[in-house]
Amino acid sequence: MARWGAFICDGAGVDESSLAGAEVVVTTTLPPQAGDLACKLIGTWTRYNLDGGILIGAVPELVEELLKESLRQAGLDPFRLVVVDLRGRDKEGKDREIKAALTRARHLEPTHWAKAKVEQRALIIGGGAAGLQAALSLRQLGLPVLIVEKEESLGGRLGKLDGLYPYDVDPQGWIKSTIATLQEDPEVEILTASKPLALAGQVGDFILEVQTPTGAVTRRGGAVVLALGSKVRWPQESGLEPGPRVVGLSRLDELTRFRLRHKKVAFLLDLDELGSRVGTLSALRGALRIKDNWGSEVHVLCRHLKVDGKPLESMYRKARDMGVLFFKYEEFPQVTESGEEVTLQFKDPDLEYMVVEEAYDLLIVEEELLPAGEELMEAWSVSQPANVRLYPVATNRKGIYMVGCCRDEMDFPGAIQDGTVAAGEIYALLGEGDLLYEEDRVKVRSEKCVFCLTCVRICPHGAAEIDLVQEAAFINPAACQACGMCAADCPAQAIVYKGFDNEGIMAQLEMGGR
Amino acid sequence: MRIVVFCCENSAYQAARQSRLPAEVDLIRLPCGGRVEVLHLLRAFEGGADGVLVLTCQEDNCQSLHGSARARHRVEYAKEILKEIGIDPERLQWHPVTSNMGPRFQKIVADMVEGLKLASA
Repeated sequence: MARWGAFICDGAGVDESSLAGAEVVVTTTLPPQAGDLACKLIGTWTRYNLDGGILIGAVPELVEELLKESLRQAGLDPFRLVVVDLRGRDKEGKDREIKAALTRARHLEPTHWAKAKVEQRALIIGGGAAGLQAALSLRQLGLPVLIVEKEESLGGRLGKLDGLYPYDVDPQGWIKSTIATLQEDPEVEILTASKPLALAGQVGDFILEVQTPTGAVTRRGGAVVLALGSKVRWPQESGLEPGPRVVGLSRLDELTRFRLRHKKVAFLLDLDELGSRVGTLSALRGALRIKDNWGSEVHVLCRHLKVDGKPLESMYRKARDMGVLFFKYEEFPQVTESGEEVTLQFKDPDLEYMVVEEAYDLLIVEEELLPAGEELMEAWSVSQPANVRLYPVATNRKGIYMVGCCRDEMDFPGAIQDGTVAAGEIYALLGEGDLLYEEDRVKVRSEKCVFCLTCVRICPHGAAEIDLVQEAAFINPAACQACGMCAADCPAQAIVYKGFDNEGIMAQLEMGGR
Repeated sequence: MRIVVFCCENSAYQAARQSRLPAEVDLIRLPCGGRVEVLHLLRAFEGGADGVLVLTCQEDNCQSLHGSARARHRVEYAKEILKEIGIDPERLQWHPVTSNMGPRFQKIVADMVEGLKLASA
């Protein structure tokens, strides 16, 4: 027989008569201040050796969270505190709420906690700006890291850039000094020209298999950072073909390193209606660069220039001051290539749709930037839908984070910020050295499981696994985020969600019936 | 009259705490909209509920990513069953409610009460 205590807050507007018929061993009145409330609650709980408590009164969410945290720290079970928030209910409503809470309490079983040692290392896939910054920040926080990079050298897309207007950063210098810092560090392992093969395990203990030039190796880590970068796609729909006179924006730095000077250059942006901010940023950067290196005449054609914030706006103004001309178009320009020239014909709405025809000796076209590594994400059941609960770097899976251009189109400061944020989250997760979780909140009764894998397919957090020995599904308690979706969908009703099991929910439904 | 409201703990239940509710409302707290089963919805009617509400997160704002969408789908499915057994499917409704939408929670419940009163008149 479970020992329950009832705690009635001052001014709750109920008295012990509301608890008539309830099996509680003690009823206490609590003061209104949250701090005092926690002391008295925990004091009574331990003195009477209670299994659980029902807290009745005006209990806002924050107070509930605070009390549950206090209980956890006192070594008591926060899930066995049933809170009845009576705000906004009349006398009859209050009685019904209390009755429902008592019913819930009767169906609550104790929680079993487990503590697992975690691998304190972070596994970073991708050595571009975001991945390198994550490594730097993690090292500052004292966690060892592994960096897996598919190319021969670190640096990613940033490594291909010569300058970074409007930011006062020298990309090559940044990469060089970052790599130097990381290479000196014995707690950093860098695998270049390597490819991740498989990821097993869950939060706290992931097992990553990597194909290196000298063979496959296995590394363990408590968290994974996906810094997979982006890939460039040529805008085929435009009908343009890359050639000596028509090149992609991503090749700009490569081109401007040559002494070959073009006299008149055009940037063509926003090929896909909406365009992108990074496209505008790169074009402005390129326009300034061409002005600096070649002194050419430069035109920028766009639908809308995306210059948010001071750095981009000032870059735009600087470009204008240097003589760069900006045109708008609504209908896609007519492009004709003849010998040494590319001619663009378009109507600018700001020039009252006057037909503009200009010939250039170089046309630089904005490409589409797509997130890289889709295959990897699919294989590892990782996703990051636009959802404020995951924003910015969390994913559906606990312990796996996404940073940089693989999650959103991004400039250098964005990538740096992402890397730093992910490092902070990983430190919060692994810094203590062990992971505390509820061992049996959501559990598969293996004797009822028919191995249909419904839970494996629907679990949004990748926590449902297959136990081949038991021939049953298994909900990994460390990765489980306790939404209960599997319990609702299990065709064999084999999954029990403690605290929200069918018996408890049904009892609450029946109790209210008249 | 009795109205059973299944509430997602992350959103609608917090909204419920900020609203003034009529006596006939029974709140059932769920960890996520995705936990609700068709069986629960039907059992609520069997237990004498006149109306049942499933109030969960905005669909692209669900902590369990598609929990809210699953709740909506189950409500749609349960509505089909209600139709077959001769219960007005309008007695069962799904709405998204975020945690700071106390007034909206109150309005949804009030509208349900109003609708039920009209139906029984």
